[in-house]
Amino acid sequence: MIVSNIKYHRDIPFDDYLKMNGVSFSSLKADEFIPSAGSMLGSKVHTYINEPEKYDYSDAEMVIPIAKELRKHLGDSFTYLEKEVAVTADFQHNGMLLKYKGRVDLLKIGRLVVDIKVLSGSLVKAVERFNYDKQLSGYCLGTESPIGLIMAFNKLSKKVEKLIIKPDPTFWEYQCVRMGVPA
Amino acid sequence: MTNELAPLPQSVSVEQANAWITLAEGKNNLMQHLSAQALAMQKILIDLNKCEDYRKIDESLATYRKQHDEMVKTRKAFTSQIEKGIIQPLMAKEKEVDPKENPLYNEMANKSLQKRKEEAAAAEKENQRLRELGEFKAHVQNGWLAVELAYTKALRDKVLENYTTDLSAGVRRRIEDTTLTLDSVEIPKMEKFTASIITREEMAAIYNSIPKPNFDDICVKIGTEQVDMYRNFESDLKNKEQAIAHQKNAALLKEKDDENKAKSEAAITTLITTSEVVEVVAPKIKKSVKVVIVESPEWAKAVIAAFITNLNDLAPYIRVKSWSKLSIGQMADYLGKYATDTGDSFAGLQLEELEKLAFTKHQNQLI
Repeated sequence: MIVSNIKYHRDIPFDDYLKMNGVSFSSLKADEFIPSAGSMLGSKVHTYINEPEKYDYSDAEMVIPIAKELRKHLGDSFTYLEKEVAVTADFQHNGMLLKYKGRVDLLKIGRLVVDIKVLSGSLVKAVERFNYDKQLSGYCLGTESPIGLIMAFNKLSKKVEKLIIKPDPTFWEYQCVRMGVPA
Repeated sequence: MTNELAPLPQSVSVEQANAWITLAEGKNNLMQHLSAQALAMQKILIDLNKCEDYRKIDESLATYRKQHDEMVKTRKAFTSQIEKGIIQPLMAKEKEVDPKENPLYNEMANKSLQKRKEEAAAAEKENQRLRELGEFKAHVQNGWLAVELAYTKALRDKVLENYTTDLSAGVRRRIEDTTLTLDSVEIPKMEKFTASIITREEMAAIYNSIPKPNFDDICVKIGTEQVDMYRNFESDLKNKEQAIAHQKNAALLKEKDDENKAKSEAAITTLITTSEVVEVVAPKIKKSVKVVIVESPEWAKAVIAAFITNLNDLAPYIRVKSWSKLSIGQMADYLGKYATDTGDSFAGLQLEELEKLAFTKHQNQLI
């Protein structure tokens, strides 16, 4: 798969990102997604970590300890990773072009993508069920980063679980063929 | 519909079947008797509606209470037969195999617990080894970064020293000589890693898998920077002090920039390397803390005091239907649950840690 025309969009409100042109992993799953109490908690943790000025301190008794635990595992890298960076890129495969978009939680361009999750069970099972490896592959391909890292807080075990993802273009190649236009 | 009785199952004797029929008959007769008695008692109360003489009211109430006692006695005489003849023998079987009391069950549970502890200890040891391997990998990767940074700085310091010396003396040295001085700069050594679990062979394998910086390239790069610096030698000679100050400032900025890049790279390398460690999952052992019971007034006072002091924090653990019936034993239980989660202790109370197999509440599955 050829990736070109990479553009980074910083300081873009989430609503504006949603309006941007492109196919994201979430948009492919949009029909299945119904916000639950769990996913809302995850959003709050994201906001508290990456955009604290926007956090309204609701559910703080759960959000703050989870965020603290995740920050502990991120260590010093948190200082050097860019937060909430939107990326758009052209994914091209077999003569078909797909306009891709993604919003990365934490990023060191060309080096590492980190995605933060709050899960009600184990990370490995969630990856199998929700295909998070494909989501991370999209982020990595779109930012030319060789490594993706999912850092998840497991609410059941109350522990942080981590999984390294080596980007695999297969899923996105298929999306190019399925949803792309002739290049 | 037919009134004929169904044939008896083979496992039921005629005597047993007759006993059940007698029991049913007895129950129906008793029900009839008790119903009549209940009606008669209600009549006693209704008749008192128009009575204003407290002596007669008291007399009727006494009769009422006496009849109620008789009802209870009559009912108990019947239900105690069921208790003795049916319920107790059936419950005896349950009790025989009750997990809480069965010695063999407890022996097996302890065996499982012991095996789990052994496996958990082995898993922890293995995880320590895996974590140390990860730490060593990060140490080597970050170590080379630090060496590269220190070597670059040493080379730049040498360049600055050469240039400052030459400007001060007003003599420009030959490029060949400057290259020679850079060659003399030693490559710093990597910090030592003190391993506690991993072997030298494992360390060697990791060390050899991580590429070293190309020190020759670094030397050539700084040599090129030096050549660039000397291009303005004649101009700088006219204003030595300011030129030296400028070069020192520029070197400082480069050094800070390199340091920041190295710090960022080291932090990200550490995050990646430590995340690569896939730990072995250890079997779970449920640990809980319990307040040791001491049958004394002092112990009871200590429990009450700890309960009142921590009442707000204990709220999630308290499960009472009736606060008026809350016992000191229940207070001690709640304190134990609270201590399990928080690790807190309480003045005057001794705590003990218990280990047991953890089953899910509804499906009796091991957690």
